[in-house]
Amino acid sequence: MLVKQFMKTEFRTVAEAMPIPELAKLFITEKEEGYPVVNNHQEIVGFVTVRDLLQAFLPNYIRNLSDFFDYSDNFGYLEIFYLRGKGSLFIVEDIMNYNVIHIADDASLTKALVVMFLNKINMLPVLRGPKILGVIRQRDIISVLFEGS
Amino acid sequence: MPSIAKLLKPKLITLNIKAAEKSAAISSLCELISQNNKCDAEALFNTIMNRESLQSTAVGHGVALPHARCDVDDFIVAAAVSEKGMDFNSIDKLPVNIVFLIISPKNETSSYLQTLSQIAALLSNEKIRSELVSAKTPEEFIEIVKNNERR
Repeated sequence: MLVKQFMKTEFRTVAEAMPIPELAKLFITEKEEGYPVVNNHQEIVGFVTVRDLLQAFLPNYIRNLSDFFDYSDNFGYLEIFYLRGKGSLFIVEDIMNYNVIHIADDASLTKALVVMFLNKINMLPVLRGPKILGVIRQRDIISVLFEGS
Repeated sequence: MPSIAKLLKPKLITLNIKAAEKSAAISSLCELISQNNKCDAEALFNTIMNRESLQSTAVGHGVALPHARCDVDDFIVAAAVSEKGMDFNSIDKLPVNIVFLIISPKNETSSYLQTLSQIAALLSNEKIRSELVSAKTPEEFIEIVKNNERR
């Protein structure tokens, strides 16, 4: 069983230049945990996840456990620039992962599952060169295993 | 939260920058960074200009915050002041008098955005902007930032 047989070819990508508040709206309204990021040539340049977005709001001092229980009740400066509607300074390119974990269309489904498990992600872009052909998700594999499709 | 004043170095501050527009100003700051850090000015310039091509970071009120994540080990912040103002394609079409250029390691997203937000918040104050434009030395520029940044 190959990835190309079961990947989904209808999927959303987001542009590098998409403002962060727009990305946040997608995460709120859709069930995806991440989106491939593409440039003007529709070539993949990154991947952005809910975690990447929320990571920007993590206080720096979470790295210092002694301070962990003394965190503030707001998100500091980021609160000013996101929650008060001035978030256009930041775009997807500012938070995306440059190193895209991906799979080739002719790879086996088992390999896709292994890659997702090892990297603790639930979706992989399927690439041929820089072009994105589709995506394969853990739930697509569940569908193959339990529904045979 | 990183202190902006601690990130600023006198060597990376240009008062009375000669550049008249965005490209020249960013190029000048990249050269300055390159002279004082292990990074290639041209690569830095291309990365910053690529980010600018996606969306201008000239946020209005005479302020621009060009930024990018690059292959660097630590945060680098450079600043420039132009009393006359520079053409930066600002959202309010006004010339830019204060530029803070921020370079972050690729994996430092959290600190990166918080630092940028912190600088933007600082520069949203008209009095502070005016003081920074009037600074006579890079040390004075840093002192103004230090005295006004919230802890």
